[in-house]
Amino acid sequence: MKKFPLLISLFFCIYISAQNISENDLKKLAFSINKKIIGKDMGNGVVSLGCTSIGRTLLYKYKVPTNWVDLPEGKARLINDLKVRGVAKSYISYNINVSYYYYKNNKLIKTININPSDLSNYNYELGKHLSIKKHPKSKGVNLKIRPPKDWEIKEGNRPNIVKKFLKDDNTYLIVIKNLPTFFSRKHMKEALKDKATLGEFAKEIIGKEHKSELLSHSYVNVDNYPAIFIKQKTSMERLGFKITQYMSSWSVFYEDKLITLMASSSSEADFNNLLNLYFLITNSLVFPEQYD
Amino acid sequence: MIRLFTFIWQLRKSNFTKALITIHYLFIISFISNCKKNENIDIELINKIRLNSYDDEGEFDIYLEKFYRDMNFYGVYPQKPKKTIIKFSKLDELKGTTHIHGLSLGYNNDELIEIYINPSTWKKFNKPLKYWLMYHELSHDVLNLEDLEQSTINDGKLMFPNLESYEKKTMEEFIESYLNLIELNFKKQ
Repeated sequence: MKKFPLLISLFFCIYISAQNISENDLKKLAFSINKKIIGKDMGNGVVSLGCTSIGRTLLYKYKVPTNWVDLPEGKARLINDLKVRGVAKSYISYNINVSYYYYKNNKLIKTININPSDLSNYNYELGKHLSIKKHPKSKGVNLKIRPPKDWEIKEGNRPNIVKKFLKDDNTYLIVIKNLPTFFSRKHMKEALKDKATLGEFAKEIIGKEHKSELLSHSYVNVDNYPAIFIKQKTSMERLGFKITQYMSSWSVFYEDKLITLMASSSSEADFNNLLNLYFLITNSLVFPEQYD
Repeated sequence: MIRLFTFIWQLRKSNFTKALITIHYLFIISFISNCKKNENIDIELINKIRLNSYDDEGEFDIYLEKFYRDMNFYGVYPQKPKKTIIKFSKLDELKGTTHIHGLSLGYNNDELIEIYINPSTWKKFNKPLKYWLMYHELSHDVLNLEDLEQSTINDGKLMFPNLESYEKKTMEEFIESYLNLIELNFKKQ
């Protein structure tokens, strides 16, 4: 049985010096790597077939010997290797995927795909449900949600922030505000399905207080209640320091309350890396009373 | 009563004894779980209801506040009374009101809100039913609206006079029902 090859992406570290890397840059990088590794013996009879890029994915191809056997923990070993060699951070920072294709007798026998989130040191598991029923700041709203494991859970500082989940420079807030009256789900769904109305609501939600750039918005449902999903970039000043925050938020129209679940990170890399986690947290939200 | 007459008509061809029993049963059912304003309750009973009442410890404040808020949002500005009484009263312990969830005594009197709620009902009701009951009584007292006719066409509307204890209402149904009431009775100013 031949060992699963450990792969080196040193070229990646040397090449990158710019802050952002476009798909075109990736193409050039792949071309450069390809020139250096194509035809090379990687050890254990594995030969490199070169490197290409597709979109934001670097693709490495290998020819393996006939007696090559794939080990079940191959992906984990690759991930570990990338982390140990220090290249994982670059993949995360520049939001680059990496794929490995293995060919035996000209047939593709194995693929391994690694996303930036796979390389993250953040834990994507969620903890047990946390309820805010009868919380003094809940304004009568009964909901439960699963915070991410290993994140700190704190009380909100400001009057409308019920709870916050914190990890490094990343936060997830539960904010509850009053609406001027009750809105039925039926009416809100109809209103938000109109693109112009949806756009107006999105602009209202991001506000004018800070310099906010609306990156995207859409109509979604959160546990059967109509909501607006927004991605934004906000620049603000705090105690003389300029801060940029990357945010995603879900503003849920729940009876006569507007519940905003707001996730933010101070680095774009962390924001992209954690976006799936933010989705998972929001998806875990339950309004139990509708099931009574 | 309409339901009663319809049923009697359908039964006239069947066994007389069976019909009698069914009519008797229907008679009882039609009086279960009503929401009432005071037109059929005598003064002695009203006094007993008042004597039997006790404070809600602020339980009903939020409903009153939201009622005015919602009416005002849609351009309805009813007069606020000089006196507001919304209390619990053990209606199921008084002969004549045992079947009643809530009672409004301030109908057609803009100087007064006077509503009594059966605490046994209140304990059993979920959130949408509580809103339903309170908005129904407040619509009598504040908006001076009558009950709708007890017919199937009005079933599910806020001012329908019957609300069964076992009924399942959702907040969605409650919101739609009071919006429907505003649309039917008022125009936005």
